[in-house]
Amino acid sequence: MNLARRIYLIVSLALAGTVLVALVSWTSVRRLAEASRRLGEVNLSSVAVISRISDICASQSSLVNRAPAQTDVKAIEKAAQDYAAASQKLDAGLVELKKLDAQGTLSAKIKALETDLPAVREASGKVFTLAAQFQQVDASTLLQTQVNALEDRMTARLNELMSASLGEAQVQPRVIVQQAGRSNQWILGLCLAVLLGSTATSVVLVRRKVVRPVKQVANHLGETFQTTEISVQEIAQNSHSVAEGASEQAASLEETSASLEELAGMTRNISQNANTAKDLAKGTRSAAERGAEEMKAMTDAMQAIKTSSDNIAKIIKTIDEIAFQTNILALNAAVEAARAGEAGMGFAVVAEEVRNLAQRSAQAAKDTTTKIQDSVTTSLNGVQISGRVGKALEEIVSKARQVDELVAQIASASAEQTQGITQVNTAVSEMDKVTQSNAASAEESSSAAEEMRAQAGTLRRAVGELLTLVDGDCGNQSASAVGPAPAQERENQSVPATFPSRRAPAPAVQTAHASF
Amino acid sequence: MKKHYCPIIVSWVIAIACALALTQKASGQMVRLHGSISTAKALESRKAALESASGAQIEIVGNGAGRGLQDVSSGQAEVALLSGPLKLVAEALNKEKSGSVDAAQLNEIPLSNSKLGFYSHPAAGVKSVTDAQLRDVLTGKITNWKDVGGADLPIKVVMGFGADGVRVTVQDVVCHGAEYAQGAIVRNSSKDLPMVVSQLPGACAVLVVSSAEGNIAKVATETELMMPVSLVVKGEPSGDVKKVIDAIKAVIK
Repeated sequence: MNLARRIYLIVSLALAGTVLVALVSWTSVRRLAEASRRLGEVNLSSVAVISRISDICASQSSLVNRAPAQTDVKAIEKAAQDYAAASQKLDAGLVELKKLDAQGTLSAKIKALETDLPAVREASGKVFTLAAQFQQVDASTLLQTQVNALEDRMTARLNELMSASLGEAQVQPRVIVQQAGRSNQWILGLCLAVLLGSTATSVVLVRRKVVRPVKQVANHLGETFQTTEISVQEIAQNSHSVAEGASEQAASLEETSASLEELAGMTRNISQNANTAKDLAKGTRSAAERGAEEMKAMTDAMQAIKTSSDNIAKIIKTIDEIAFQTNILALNAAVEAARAGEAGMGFAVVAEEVRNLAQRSAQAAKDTTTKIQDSVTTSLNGVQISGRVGKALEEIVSKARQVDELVAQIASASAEQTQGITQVNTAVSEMDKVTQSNAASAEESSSAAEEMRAQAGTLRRAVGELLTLVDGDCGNQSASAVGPAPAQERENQSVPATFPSRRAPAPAVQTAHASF
Repeated sequence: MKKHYCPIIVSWVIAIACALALTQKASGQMVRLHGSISTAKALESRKAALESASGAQIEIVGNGAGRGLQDVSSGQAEVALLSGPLKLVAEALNKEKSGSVDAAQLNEIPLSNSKLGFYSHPAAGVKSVTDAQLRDVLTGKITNWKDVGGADLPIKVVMGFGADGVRVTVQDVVCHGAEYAQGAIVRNSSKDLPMVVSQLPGACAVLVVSSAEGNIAKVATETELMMPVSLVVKGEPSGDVKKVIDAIKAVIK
């Protein structure tokens, strides 16, 4: 039989006794309830109804007594109506009273009251009539001589009714008290018997079936607890170490993250410079290409100048030949003029002048030819120089193109490097988070270990209390053997429950990452 | 510590001041004036002036001229406010209860005369009556308003009870001592009369003019009706009572 069943057995025995007591109590209470019902529903209700009838009579008396002095007809009529309404309520009250008086103990008195009602109502009606006619003296006289006397008699009858009803109501409580007394004796006796029997049984059963096994379990719990507490202590120390390691790791990561941030900054600058150099090289190449094109155009222009000079030389030669021919012709003309004599004298002069002109033309053509020859030579020299400059420019363009390509490659490589560093930084950030999470977990583990240790302490005390509960004072000795000494507990408590948090610097690291 | 005593000291000062004030107030004698409702009503509005002039405390109770005389005779009041002749009111009182008032011991101090008027419900439709007609109406010889030129409506005479000042004065002056009509409506307080006449078609009453109010019509009479108003004391007045009487006289003038 397990512990629960043993306890159920004890409780069942107690319950059985309680049910027995409850049955006896229920029977007694039923009898008392019946007596109380009679007291409440019949006797007290009768008293309440009689009291209500008395109130109605009093209100009617007040209405009729005030009527003669009234000077407002409407007020008097209203009072008469209220009186009639009160009469109806009074009649209803009497009917109710008769119903409650099923045994007929009050019937004679009710009848006597009913006998007086018509007379007092008739007299009151006359008072209201006289009052409505303002016959105050007559109304007052009637009131004093008839109505008040009748009202006094009714009041006396109501008092008798009330006394009779109260007398009946006073008997009923005595019956209730007697029944309650008998029930009380029965219930008390039974309770005492059940209490003694169940107590004795419970003591024996609890000692044999509960205390002994519980004590054994408690001892076993104490031994297990000691082992558990040592393990918990080790876990707490390990958690503490892990938390410290995680904290240090997080600090290193923070430094790494800062270095990476600096490196990323430098790489970003290099990348920007490479881009700038790339743009400059591109501009240089464009400028060199434009220079080469211009140089080619200049060479062409020089060549055209040389060709033009050659043509001019040819023309000059033609002019020189013409001047030579002209000189010969002028000589021929002078010869002919000389032959003609005096008739040819004028012609000889002209021929002389023509000859002079031809000679001067020949000299000018010769001078021009010399100068054009110099010019052609110079142009030829310029063509040669511009050809060399064009070649040099082509080499510059070729080199600038190579520089441009190299700078573009450097810029691309620098961008890839920046991206790589960003990824590394992100990875470090993730590592930082993981490290922080590890630190927090280690901290929580440490806290949990502390909690476990505290719970172990509670368990130790609970086991001690259990043993004390089971053994009494002897339990204290057993309890002292269950767990570590209080000094050891204080020593355990000296281990910090929490570790330096890595959460505080985290926002700075995150801010640094955000700048990427 | 001193702060704690302050409320106690203030309370004591207030209590002593109240006690002194009450002592001062109580130093003057209480002069009780009981009687005519209309006179009491008139004096009530001047009570403060009367107290100031006489230096005495005054209690004014309008419980009717007859009751006022009875109160003075029994020592429950120092001054009776009387409407009507002392002799007639005393006779009426003694008729009700023999020996309730000893007129010989009472000293009447005339004050003034109150105007009386004959009033009817407006349905009566009468504007004026002669002295003879008024007498016949009050004594029950004329029972319908049509006999005096009014509507065909039975006459209902309304009056105060027993030693009411107006009642005894009118019975003496108008009726020449004849009894009032049988079945006349009698009210314990003359204060009710205007209210009753205003609600009862055919009703009529002689009222103090100053108290006539409500839905009532004045019927002119051949002779002006007057009622003496006086103060009545037991023996010769002295002390505060005399001062109060002098103050009342001064106010009435």
